[in-house]
Amino acid sequence: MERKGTTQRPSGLGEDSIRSYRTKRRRCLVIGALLLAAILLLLVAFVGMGAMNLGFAETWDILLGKITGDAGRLAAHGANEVAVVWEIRLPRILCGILVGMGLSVAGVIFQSLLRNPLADPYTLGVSTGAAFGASLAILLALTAGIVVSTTAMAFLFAFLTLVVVILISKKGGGIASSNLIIAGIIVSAILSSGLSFMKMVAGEDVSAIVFWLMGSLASREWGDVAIVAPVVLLGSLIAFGFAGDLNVMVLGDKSARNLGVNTGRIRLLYLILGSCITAACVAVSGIIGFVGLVVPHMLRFWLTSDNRLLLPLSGLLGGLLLSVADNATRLLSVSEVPVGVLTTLIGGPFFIYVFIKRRGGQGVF
Amino acid sequence: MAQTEKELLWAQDISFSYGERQVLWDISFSVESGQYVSLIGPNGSGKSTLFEILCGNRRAQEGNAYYKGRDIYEMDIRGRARHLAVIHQNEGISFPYTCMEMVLLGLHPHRARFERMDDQSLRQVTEIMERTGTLPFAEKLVTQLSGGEMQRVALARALAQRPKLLLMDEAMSDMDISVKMQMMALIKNLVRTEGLTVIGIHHDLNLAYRYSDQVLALREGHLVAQGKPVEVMTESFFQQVFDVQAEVYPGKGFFIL
Repeated sequence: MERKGTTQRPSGLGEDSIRSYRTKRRRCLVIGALLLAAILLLLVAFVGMGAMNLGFAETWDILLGKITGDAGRLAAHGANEVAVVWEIRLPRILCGILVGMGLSVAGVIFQSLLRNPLADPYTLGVSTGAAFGASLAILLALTAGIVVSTTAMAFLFAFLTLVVVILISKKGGGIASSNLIIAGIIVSAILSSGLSFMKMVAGEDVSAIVFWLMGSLASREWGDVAIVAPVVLLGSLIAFGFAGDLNVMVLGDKSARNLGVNTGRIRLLYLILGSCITAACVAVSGIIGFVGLVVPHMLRFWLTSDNRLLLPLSGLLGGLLLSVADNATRLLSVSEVPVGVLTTLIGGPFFIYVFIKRRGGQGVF
Repeated sequence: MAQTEKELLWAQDISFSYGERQVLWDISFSVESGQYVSLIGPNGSGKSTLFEILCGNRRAQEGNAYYKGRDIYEMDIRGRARHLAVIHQNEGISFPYTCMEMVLLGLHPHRARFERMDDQSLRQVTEIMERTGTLPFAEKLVTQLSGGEMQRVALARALAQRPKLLLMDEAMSDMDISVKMQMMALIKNLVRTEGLTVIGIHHDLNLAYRYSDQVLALREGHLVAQGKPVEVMTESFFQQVFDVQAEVYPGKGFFIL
């Protein structure tokens, strides 16, 4: 070999690469800490804001009193204030954070799993399933007077949809990404027409269904938090635990297996995690678009693709963004615009911006 | 039929069919450690299927492939990845990982789930990147690489896996001639000094001729020739296996006429 140009570099380059690798990771951790701080600060601030305006200090005091169970601390505040803070605003705001977090984490999961940057939590039809279930519950209540929980039905049908999608793709040659996407599209389409049919049957009462579909966090209660919190938090934690394997999965099945990942098991794990998280989010909030697509994208192009960093960062940024969006609709609009409409309205153009400005340039889509 | 000590890989009477269509017929060969073996043959000769069986991604219907006496398909996936590294053809990645992150994936089978990336591992990786010439674009995103650069990154990742056996499917097809020769020199060096064993599918027959210790030639699912390239790749061989006329200058190379 005469040409030694590329094999005989000074080893300082290696140290430089290691240093910048470490710097990049440290920067991600700092950003994560800042996002978490922002979420917590805004949580207290938002809880204080509304028709009944409370200061940051007072809100903080009420929250602290409730959390620690300090009756003496609470006695200093009116019962109305405490109720507004604890029973009305806090659960809704928590739901916003958790749903934003869940959708973003699920977005990262589905994009990596399907090896498709355009996938989102709704790609496999889980959301259409949830919508179908919720509409069925609403319709049953309207027409037959049978009252079933909209949330429970949404969750149930979301999960059933996933099972059907997996079964179809298994029959169609295995749960490879393209099979899953195709099965998802088919099942979604069928459920959508079922949904249209229900809307027609609902006649004049169709608005109940339509409003649910638009996605909103208005008047969510502790019961909703109890559904979404354990699923999103636990699901995200497990997802984080296997994030290293998810990185390898991005190379495709064959390569991932030859790098020591049990692809069948990891894929099933993440399908279940992603779908449970999505189902819980959709069951509580209806269909809130674009968060699960845009948040992972922004972070990938601005910071990193490494799922060990991307998953937690997406969760935090998603929680923050949806919380801000939801409180904006709550505080700024007279007749509350459903937050799902707002996220798509802002998320769409923003996505165009990210798409044009993206780090990585050509060949990504 | 026991394997001898030096035999690293052993294929025993492998037959494979996709449904009715049989693509491999009674393939048997063995590979000693510290050898560079090229798998050659025309399109549709069954190279890729055989390759997948050797990687442990497919199971032969009859016969079997063994690594150090162990059934490759049955080996624990993670444990297998500590011995065998595989570079598949054209793996496309649509996410903006940096090249260094991509090469670091090669450490995956050796690392515990929450193990911190220590300086030693990072140095090991940058050293491999230096040797493969990928260090200058360590920070570059894989989505921005040219085909040849991407193949070098894939090679670096496979070497970071510290394999005993490296399987490559057209892993250098997009590299320019100079890079290709550098990479071959690097691999041959590892074969000589560290006892690495390589099985590579090559369409570049000159490459196979020049660098292989052994060639395995497939045609229509049959192993039609095996041995040293000088002995195997003769004028009649080119005629019979590839349907081309060649003029061979033994030990130097050949021209396809």
